[in-house]
Amino acid sequence: MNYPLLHLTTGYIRKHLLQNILLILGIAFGVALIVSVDIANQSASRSFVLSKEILSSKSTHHILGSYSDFDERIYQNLRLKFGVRNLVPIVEDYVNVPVLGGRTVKLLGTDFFADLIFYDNRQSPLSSISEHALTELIAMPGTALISAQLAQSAGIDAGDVVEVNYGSKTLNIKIIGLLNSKSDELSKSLGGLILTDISTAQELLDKVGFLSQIDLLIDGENPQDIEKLNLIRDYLPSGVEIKEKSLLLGSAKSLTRSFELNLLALSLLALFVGVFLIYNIVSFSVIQRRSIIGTLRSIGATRKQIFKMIISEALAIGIVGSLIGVLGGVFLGRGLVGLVTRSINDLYFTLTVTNFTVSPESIIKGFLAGIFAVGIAALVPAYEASRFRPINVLRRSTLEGLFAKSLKLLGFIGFLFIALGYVLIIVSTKSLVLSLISVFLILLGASLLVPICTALLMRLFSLVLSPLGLIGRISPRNIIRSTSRTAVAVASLTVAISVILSVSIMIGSFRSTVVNWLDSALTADIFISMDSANISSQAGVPNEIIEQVTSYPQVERVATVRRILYDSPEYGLFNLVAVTEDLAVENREFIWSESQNNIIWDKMQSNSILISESFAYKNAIEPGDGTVVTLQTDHGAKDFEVAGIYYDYGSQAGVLLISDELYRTLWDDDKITSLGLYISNTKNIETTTELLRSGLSNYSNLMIRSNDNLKRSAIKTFDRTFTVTSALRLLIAIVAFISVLSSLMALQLEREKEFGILRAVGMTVGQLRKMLFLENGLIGLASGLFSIPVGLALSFILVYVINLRSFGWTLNFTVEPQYFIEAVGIALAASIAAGLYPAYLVGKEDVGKLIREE
Amino acid sequence: MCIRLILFILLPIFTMAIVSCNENKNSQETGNVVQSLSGNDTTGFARADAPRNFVFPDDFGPHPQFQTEWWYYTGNLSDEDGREFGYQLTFFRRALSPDKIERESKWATSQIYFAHFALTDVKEGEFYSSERWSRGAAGLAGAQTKPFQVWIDSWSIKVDDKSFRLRAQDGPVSIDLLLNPLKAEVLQGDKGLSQKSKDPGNASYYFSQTRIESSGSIFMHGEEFEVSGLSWLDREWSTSALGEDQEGWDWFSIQLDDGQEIMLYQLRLNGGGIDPFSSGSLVGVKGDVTPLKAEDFKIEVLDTWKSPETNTVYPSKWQISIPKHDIKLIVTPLLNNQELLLSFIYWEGAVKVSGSGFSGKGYVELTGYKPQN
Repeated sequence: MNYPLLHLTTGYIRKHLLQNILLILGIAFGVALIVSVDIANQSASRSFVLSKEILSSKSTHHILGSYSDFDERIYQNLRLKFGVRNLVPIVEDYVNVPVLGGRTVKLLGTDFFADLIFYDNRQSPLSSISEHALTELIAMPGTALISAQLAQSAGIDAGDVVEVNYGSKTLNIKIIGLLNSKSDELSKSLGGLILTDISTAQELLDKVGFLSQIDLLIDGENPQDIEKLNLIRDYLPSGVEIKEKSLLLGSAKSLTRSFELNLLALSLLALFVGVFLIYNIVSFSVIQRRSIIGTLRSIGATRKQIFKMIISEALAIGIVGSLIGVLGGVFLGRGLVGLVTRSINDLYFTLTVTNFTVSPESIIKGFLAGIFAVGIAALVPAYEASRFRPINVLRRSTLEGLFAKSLKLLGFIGFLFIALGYVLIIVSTKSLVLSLISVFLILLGASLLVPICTALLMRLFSLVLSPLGLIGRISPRNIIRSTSRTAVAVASLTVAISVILSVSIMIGSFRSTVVNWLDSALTADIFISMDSANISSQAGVPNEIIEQVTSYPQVERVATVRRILYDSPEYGLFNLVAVTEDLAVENREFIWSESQNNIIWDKMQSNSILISESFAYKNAIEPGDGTVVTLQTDHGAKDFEVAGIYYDYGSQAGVLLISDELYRTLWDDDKITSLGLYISNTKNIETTTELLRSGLSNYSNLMIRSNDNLKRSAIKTFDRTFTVTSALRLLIAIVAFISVLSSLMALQLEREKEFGILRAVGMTVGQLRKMLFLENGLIGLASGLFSIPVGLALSFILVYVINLRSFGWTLNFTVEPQYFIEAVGIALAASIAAGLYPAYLVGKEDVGKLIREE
Repeated sequence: MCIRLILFILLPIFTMAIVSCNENKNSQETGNVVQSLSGNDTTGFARADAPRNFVFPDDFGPHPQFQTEWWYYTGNLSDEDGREFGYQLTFFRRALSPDKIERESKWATSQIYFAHFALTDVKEGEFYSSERWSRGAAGLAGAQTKPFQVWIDSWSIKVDDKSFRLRAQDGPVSIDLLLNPLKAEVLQGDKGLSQKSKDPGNASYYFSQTRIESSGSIFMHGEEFEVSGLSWLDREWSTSALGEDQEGWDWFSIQLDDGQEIMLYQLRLNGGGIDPFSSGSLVGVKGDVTPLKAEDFKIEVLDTWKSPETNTVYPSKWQISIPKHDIKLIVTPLLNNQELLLSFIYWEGAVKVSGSGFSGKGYVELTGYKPQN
């Protein structure tokens, strides 16, 4: 760009500062959302790795039981009989620490001598521990190390005894030393850890004779190591497997992938709305300067120079906006990380470490997305500006005439996009990414249809509003006359409102589905479980509690539930749930079942199981007789007949429901996860709950909850999970609001001259203001109305396609009137707010000055 | 031989191994470690404070009431073609606490085991060294009296009928040897009580097998060598600490071709000089033992060797004189580079012996030498 053009353009930006500030804000918000979601997703992933890979970052493989701990003799045999050396035994579980505000941390015990193989050439975290403390750690029971950081936050000193809750036990652990690490990564990992000797961990966690995991270091290039790996594979008994670490992380990560992808899609939607805003303002700036551009062209500026001027101007603003956005994103990301981590803790697995990592990639991604959006949005206006003919530019009607002609073409293209989006959904049977792309296609298509619909709607309004007199007739026509800009404003508002609407419908449907499901699934009157703030804990309800509760006369009968997270090579991660009776027997809603509800339970005593919808979806199990699921039990492989597929919203990983009797014969597991109590007089639920609470008060961490209470807390968890989504919905609304505010305000401010003429021919300030608000109101109303069908269509996709593909479950589509009132309300509020400043100016400006130019 | 070694080695190896394996490639830390050793808590452990009755073979087994203990085998072997090898296989036991606490977990222990394995291939000029460490629990490592065995993973010394079987393998090298003692156990010091300083109890129980017929296999890079030769065993257990003024030691075990053996060690003092508690013994052809005091022998260094790995300068040729017995020997390493680059770095290697009317083989151990610059 040459200097005079640069000068012109900076002058323009200075003159229209408010407009440009709004533009920068719009870009900044869009970019901030992308950056913050990316930071939140990446930090959550990192937290996951840090929580899992505490001390064995160099290991390549893990030996794990498919659902629980395994015999320690496996380790001894591998070392002594097979001569495998690079093996580290681990005994671990999650515990709660009251002095840390009930935080969940991992208690991990290892053999420090075996662990040495992982610290060949780097500093071990144990280097900060005195030799005396190390001696005590190994030789004395009940001793542990924690990180200096953790100690500080809990106010613990070396030598203190800390109370820790594990299952129904309260453990007293003596902290004999504080770990320090020079490595940032490692000290983060250590922040969620209580480190003990392996013997101590076995004793504290009631795992004497068992190991949770063996870490291995296998060199994939070394033939001897590969031979050993095969040897190990052959040796391991049924139910114990060796897995490559990267695959293991991958399979767990795939659970949260859909969740993170959905967040990403929401952030992209915000930028999508932002693109409209940018397009709006850049094209407006072109129109504002049509006479200057015409003059420039007539004095010899080339088309290329004009094009470059507009693009550079937009990019300059884009860079400023993106920079602010990146900074805002980092700030926003901090809040979002907390929300995302909490959701993952509620839904998937326990993260003992909350990590906040800002990677350069997140920054670059967000920044480039901002610049790219600006570039795309400015392309059309810049091209238009370069096509201006010096002779035509003085007449605005030329442009509007052109735009009016292309309305139909735009509408047609819009229709095509929608059709393409629809086809994509049908064709892409299971792909989540493709269905998200079709959401964008449909939104884009809808926005292209907006101009022609606006024109039609305004014609209708001019008829309907004609009884209001002159202003009623003028206002809709004014909008039609300036469709090239009003349509974009309407379109961007429509897109934003329909996104908000569809997300509201989706959350609402989800919630009502879950509420219904809880009613049918939770039939027992009182529930007893361990107070575990974490989903991954293996601690169960002590078995003797069954006897104790049955001794209460109020208790009619007791059902037990055993829930384990099972990892099988065929079906991945899922929940295996064993029940002594089907708690939902009569109310259970089936997608498909081979026989009547009451017969199914009889069949489950012999060889049949039930699977949840998400289990069926994930493993592509079609309803039908004779479907078989094969599992590795503790007594070898076993085929189970699928007796039915039922609706379940409790586990995204999927549930396999088995009768307790069958489970206990096939698996050597006598633990119980929770109890369901049926009491003789349901009026006495609350009093019996209280009675049990005081009667069982010697078990410190037992949770005894009435049916109502449990449902309430389940819904609370649900709502907490959707805090992230709601927060993003709010942010999209903010972007939309800024977008509409800036474009409509710019639109009205440009009409100074027109207002001057109207004033000169006798219109009062009051009438002008009335006209102005009516116009804006009409634009808002149009957007609100358009967003209803678009929002409904999107919500259908979210509920029936995106949710199914993300989580494997079908929701009941529920719509409530308040969603629509909310949507139209936001649209009206934004458009009317946009009229405030222009209306104020109308009264201030001097008529003579306004029309002097004419 | 190994009191010097053990005193220097055990705590450092324990701490350093856990803290950072191979981190300290030089032994600059030694001074500090010696200080920390001096303050080591030995309360509750049995002390070697009076002569005792040694019972064989029971005393080959562990003595867990003492803090430290070791089984120290070295030997010179050769195959049919006269190709020479030296080997060292040593097991150490260290108690973390004198109390035996009853615990549920099989992993619970207060006994730690370490082992060093080295092999010298004189022909190729190669020296291999490796180490193992483990808790003495869960079957991973331990020592027992009946039948005698001590092991870490697959490294072991076991009684096999009347013989002892030694097995160790690391990477491309391994040994599998059968050992038959040719002489009765030699009680070192005062009937097996080996005083290390003037403080009572600062001593060890110490016996040796000075001439052990050895045969078996050495494997190197897939090649097997049928070997035979002589080995030497030192058994020692104690609860004692090293004097602050001791810098290191030089230890010699010599098997003369005429059927006699000589054991000598000298404790080097900080700033030069030899500790008066340095001592040794001369074992006659029939197993008769003559104790040697510090003033009875003299060790002169004739040459030195600088390690390219650690820049440590070690003596590499000696003249040993025992005037009372009319013995004068020249001792030369079979290979200069027999430095063990393990958690604790020291020099221990096979040597040959010559002199006026004498010839033989042996092992020398050098510790406490500091790297130069």
